[in-house]
Amino acid sequence: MNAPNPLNTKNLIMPAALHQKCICSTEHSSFGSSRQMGDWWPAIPSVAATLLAVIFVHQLTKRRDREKYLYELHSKVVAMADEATSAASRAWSAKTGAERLTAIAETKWRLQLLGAALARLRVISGGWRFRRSWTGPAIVNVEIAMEKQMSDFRHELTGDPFEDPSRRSMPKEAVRCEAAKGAFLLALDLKLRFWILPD
Amino acid sequence: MTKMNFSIAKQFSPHPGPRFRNQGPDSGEALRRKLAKILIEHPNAIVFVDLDGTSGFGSSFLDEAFGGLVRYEGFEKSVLNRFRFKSDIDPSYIVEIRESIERAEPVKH
Repeated sequence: MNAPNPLNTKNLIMPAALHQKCICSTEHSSFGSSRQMGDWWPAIPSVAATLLAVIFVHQLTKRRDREKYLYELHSKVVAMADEATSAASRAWSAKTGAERLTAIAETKWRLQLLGAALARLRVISGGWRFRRSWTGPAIVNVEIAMEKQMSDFRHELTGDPFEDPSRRSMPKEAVRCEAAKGAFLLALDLKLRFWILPD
Repeated sequence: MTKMNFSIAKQFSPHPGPRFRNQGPDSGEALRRKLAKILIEHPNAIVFVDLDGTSGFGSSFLDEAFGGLVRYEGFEKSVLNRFRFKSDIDPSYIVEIRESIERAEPVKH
């Protein structure tokens, strides 16, 4: 005779009489009785504390990941601003012809990419934080909004007579482009510094 | 008020050019005339301008296309209220357009 396999679920089916009635010695009849509540009630604080700890650690991890992503995006924005400035400098310095047209198109394209990265930066950095200031504590939105600075930067790089085919080569404008880039990156760093201030 | 959609990439050009027509194709001046025509033909319309899908705008193009409406086409600065802009890729274009219209002054011929 083969012994019954303990892993076979068919062997685990309880008789109908036992299935309807609890087999313990006490005489409670249903799950919600006060006696049973009393059994597991002391476990609630520890379960709640564990849940809170899990949520807290999750929030910390999420925030750390967000900060990491923000710093990476910041580095990309700096690199993009560099590339856009280089392209603009080439366009200002180039003589009339295909080289200048290529540099002009590249400048506009790179500036658009930079604007897209800044839009992403704004979304990632958005959120309300508690801040202490000289006017007192306040809850402020710390998002890094750079639309105005981006607009000014574009105006400096591609303002008149940037695309005028009749203009001569203007290599001195490259210096102005570098200055505009400096002002733009300074504004970005100030906003990032405000963002990373401790709560 | 009726609504009109105008996509610059689809209904004008995906590669916006310089400021004036004599400087190259797809200029800001050409877009300005197109927008002025729309505004005059549909005086009660709100124009929803989609700025996405192009290879990038120069500052002078935007200034001519929108600021030029006040400078040369006889519109008041309140023409800004007849536009709604959408620029998911680079929202700074909208700031630039608003500033162009706000600082534009009519040119007397």
